[in-house]
Amino acid sequence: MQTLADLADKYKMDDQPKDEAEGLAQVEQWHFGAYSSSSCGLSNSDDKKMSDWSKHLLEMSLKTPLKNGKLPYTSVSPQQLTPQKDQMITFPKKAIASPKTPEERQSSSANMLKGAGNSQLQHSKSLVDIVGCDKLSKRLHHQAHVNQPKRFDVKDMFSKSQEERDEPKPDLDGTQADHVHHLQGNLRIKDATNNIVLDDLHHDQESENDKKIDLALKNYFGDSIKGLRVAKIESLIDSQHDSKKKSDHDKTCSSIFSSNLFGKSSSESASPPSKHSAAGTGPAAERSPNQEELFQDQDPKTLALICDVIDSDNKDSRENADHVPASNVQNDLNGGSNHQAIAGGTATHFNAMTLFAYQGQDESQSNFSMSSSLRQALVEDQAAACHQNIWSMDPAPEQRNPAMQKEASAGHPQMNSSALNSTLNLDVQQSVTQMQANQHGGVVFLDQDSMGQCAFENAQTIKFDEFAAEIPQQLLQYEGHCQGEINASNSSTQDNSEGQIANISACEVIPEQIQKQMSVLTQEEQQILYRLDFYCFDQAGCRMLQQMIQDGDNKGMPQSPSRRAFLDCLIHFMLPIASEVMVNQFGNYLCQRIMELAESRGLEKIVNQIIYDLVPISLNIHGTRVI
Amino acid sequence: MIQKAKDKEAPFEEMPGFVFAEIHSLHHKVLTQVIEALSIQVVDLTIDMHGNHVIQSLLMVFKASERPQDEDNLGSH
Repeated sequence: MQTLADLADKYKMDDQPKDEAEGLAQVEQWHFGAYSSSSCGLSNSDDKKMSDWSKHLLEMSLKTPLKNGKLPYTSVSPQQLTPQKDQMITFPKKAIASPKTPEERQSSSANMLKGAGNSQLQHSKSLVDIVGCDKLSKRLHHQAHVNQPKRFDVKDMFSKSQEERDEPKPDLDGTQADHVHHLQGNLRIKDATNNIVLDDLHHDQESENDKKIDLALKNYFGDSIKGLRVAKIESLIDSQHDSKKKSDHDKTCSSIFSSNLFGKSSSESASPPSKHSAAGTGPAAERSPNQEELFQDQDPKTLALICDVIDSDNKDSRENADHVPASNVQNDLNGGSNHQAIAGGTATHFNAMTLFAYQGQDESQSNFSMSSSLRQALVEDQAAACHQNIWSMDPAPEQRNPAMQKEASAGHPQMNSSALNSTLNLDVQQSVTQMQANQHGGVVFLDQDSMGQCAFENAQTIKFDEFAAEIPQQLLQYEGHCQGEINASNSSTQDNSEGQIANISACEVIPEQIQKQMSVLTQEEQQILYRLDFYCFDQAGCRMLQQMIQDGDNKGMPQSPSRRAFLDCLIHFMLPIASEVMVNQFGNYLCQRIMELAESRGLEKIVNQIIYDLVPISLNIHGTRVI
Repeated sequence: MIQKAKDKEAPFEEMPGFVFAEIHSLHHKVLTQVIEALSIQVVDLTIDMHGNHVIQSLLMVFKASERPQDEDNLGSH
């Protein structure tokens, strides 16, 4: 075995001592120097101060056989220095790569701001509660609801639909019957009063009647129709009702359809029981609206008879369905029959309004037939509510359709996203709905889950060309906003954060002052303003905007009117995304430049916009420079 | 000639005849909003590696003089 002393003899140098004792001392000194330089921090001259323990280590190392004949630099091998797997400290890899595209940068900035803002907001709320500052507490509570501008986000249509789509679906075997009932709990048909309310089909305990109904329907339609529910709409609107009741009915119908079609839950929109109902007067009060009582007298044979009647009508409906575009009749739930049509199911709340209209030919089955007046009223209210929401966002009343001015006159001040979602979905299929509702009114089959899925898929098939074609031309001319929205949202349906900032309050009315200033700008500058969501998060875009507002030729001089107009317009259009731009790595420079050049009014606008995000921005590495 | 505010009994803005101009009122309003928003989480801002600069910048707006040994500027009281 080769020891360290042997190795030292092997590598003897010219000036080495000749005697053995002197050579050993030289080796000790040399080896101790290696020790000292690596671990002890001592020099070779400190060998006299070598402790007993060091000497012991040195002696042990000299006696230790060497591997491969190599001189060890330290007594600790690299394997000993390397920690074991269980002792190793592992650092998680980056889950997301550094953002590269403008959209990714935009989303990262938004998430950064959001993440910082949540904790801060909670903390501030707690402070406000403790301190009891009414003014601040009002503002904080006001922040999330009122003060934030409503942004039309077409992407929500798809994202919400995806969320609903991801909900657990009831299996066809009925093992998740409770879930089916839970979903169907959104449905209401009608109460015993003049107010039309969709019956709550939710049952805590599945009654035997429901089982009978399910069995009958299952026997007829097969397993695929599990979850199908038959609901009736009682014909309570008769000629005896006065105009007031008729108006109430219209309002109720409108609320029903608007609530179900335009995004609200039906439980919220359900009309409360009126006094008329409590008194129990009227012919309708004698009939119970609940499904339990509705089908209590119906045995499976009766239901089978009804189904036969329906089947006879399917032939007619198939013929009528030939006039329907193929994209609208893609739902082949019931064995490929085309008699079903989505009656205004929105992409977000399609589950509650997947209606199938059949006609009960037998008048004895009045429970399953809908009066023509009611049916017509429902269809009219449906269309009216749809157009009401369309035209309510039209800033030019004179351009409205005269037929729709009446409905739009009481319209909403601002269009919400669900309204447009339902509008787009409804307008495409409105002809189908109206046609079939007129021809097959009566029994309303509600299959929320499976049909909701088909409705979602059907809604997905609507191309954006059709999407935009259904929007009135006035909206597209709305200062180019909508076109920008569509272009932005069309490519941002996959990422939730993507395109969020792109929706720069499409439905906001541009002030006249800004409109005047925009008239001074060139068309190119206007197009740039419409796509600020891109330029503000792009390096080159930010530089370009800075050059445009800097007006470098007039250094020290007042800005030219065109530059001033562009700056004002830039501030106006950038307000919705000001917080995100401030925390952006490129956008913060633009914001700094804007604040240098902006007037007091512009600064006030910016401050008012970001006042609730002031602390998160201040804590950000980029935002702190802006603040 | 504007005299020092400390020579007066009332603050500068409360002196008789003093009226904020529109632009000053606007600045006053903006500053009030900013201070009000920052004061909620002034501790977090102070100990943050970026937020402390915001506090410093805000305080420097209201500095009375360049150096402590200097006299206060006009209107700083």
